[in-house]
Amino acid sequence: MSENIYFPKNIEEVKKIVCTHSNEKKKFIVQGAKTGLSQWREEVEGYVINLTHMNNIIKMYELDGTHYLEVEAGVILADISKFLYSKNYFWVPNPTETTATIGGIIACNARGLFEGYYGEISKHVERVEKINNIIVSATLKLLKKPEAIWGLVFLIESKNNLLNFIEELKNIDELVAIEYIDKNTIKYIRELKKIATKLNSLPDISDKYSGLVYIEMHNSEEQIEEIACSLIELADKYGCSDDDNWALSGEEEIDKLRLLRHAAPESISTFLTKQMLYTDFEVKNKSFTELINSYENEAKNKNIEVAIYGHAKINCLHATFIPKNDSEQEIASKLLEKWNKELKQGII
Amino acid sequence: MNIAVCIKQVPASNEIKMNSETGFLMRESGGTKINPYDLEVIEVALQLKEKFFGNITVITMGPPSAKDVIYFAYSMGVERGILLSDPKFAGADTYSTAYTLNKCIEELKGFDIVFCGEQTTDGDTGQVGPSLAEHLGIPHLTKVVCIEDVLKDTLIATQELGNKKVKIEIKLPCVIILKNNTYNPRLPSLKLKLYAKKKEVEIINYSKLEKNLDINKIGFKGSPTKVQKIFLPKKTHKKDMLSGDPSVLSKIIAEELRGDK
Repeated sequence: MSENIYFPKNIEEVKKIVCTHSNEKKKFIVQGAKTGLSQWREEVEGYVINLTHMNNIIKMYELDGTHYLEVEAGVILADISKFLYSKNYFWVPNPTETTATIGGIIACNARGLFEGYYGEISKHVERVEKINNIIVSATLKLLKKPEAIWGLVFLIESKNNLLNFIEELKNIDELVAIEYIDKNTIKYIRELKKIATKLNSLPDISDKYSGLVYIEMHNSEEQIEEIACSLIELADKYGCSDDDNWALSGEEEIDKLRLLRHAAPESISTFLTKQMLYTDFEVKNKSFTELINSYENEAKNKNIEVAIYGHAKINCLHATFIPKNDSEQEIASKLLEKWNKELKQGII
Repeated sequence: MNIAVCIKQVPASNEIKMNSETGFLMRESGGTKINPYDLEVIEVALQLKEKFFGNITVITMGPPSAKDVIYFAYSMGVERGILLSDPKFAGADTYSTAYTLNKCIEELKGFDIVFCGEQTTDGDTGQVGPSLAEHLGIPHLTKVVCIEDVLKDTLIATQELGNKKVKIEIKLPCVIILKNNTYNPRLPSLKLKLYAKKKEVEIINYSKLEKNLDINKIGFKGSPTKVQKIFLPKKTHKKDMLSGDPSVLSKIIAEELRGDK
């Protein structure tokens, strides 16, 4: 257990804390917004440094045609969006949790919805200032907002159709995000919707569906409409009728659909009684369908419940175990270890 | 069954600025969206149409950009949209808005039900619906949580009055003001969203209503409400640490709170 918690207000105070304890052999545990839905917070001995009071947006500036935003590490994603709201620029990384701090996002190399299209987080961070390895501020590289943003949800009854549909979506380069949510995860979202008013703006999702896919497009209105027309045909081919899809556009409207995507980890974490155990790696050696099948089959063989959601575009899925007791928890833990090993050996 | 639904374009975010002198919203300072409460009203209208057949017309008053909320209504499945737009209508308060909407509805003729949302997220007055009914000279119900049935000449609805629910029969035509959070609005389908932009929006301007319109009752000039001052409430943050006997502390805290009133 930690011995002390500090809430520094500026870089000078962080330096002072580090200096005060420099001769001790204890760890500093840096705390951001403690969102921790998928990331499990570690309980270790040492001093906690909570950076949420270091939440200043320092400045926005332009250099050689690129716009930058300098922020302290405790600034949350929602504040950045608010600051940039009418400025025509945005910061790409979107781990769906809007209360995540910038320091936390950078420190855990968060992937987010758009990595498959705009590249990993390092491409969007110009500079990071650290004190004793603690991120205290960062300069973020901004991009110009696209002319139009559309978000689409497709709900499909047949599992095979859903997986094949996603395989085809992965061939469309213009899709900025392709996010998968399986039937089991939807079950938990349905439960969360009963208690979370923020999900009120979403229609109820019937249990007849095998899962859903959420996609996002950033482009000109004209180009998006062109792609959207081809998506109607594709969806139709896989049994997704007009009543089984939702389409919204504009930053404010598609937030409703991003909330649905965020509800995936949130709902599981709400109803989980044991520690959250999940995969969080990109698998390049398997197709999306093969990956889903292998996660599901292995969990089924071990008789343990699993809910799968995540970034289909880059094959980075969170297969999240839902153990009912300690023995299932142990089995899940071993399975996760096995998958990690197989990933390192290039088997998966 | 002919249904009219009154909708409004509102700021999409509380980041939108206001002109402190005129009290008008500076719409160009941020995005706009359809009033979220109106989505439920469109939903109930669509459900009635699906059950009893008929037509739905959405009506909005605003600048040309307010067309976007009509496109949104189209994407949910509405067939017809009217935009009441003219510089002479600008700056209207709730009285003037209700008066102008009433003249438009009279001109269009033949509606059995006129639906309104409980309020808007920008004005928050909830006055336009009842005021519209008075101008039209037809009965209205507020706080409606369910449309139970529509008969030949009447409609049966459930009203929520405080902690009581009342089932009531109202003569058609009427104005129904739906309570918030009662119907879960559908989201647009991709096909309807693409189709929406291709549909036309009918524009009704001052000249189209001129012969029946009293110019002294429209727009900023015809609005009895005059904005004196617009300002943001002062935010104060005070922090005091108290220690000691809880019975003494509770009195100190109560006095502090009274003093802040």
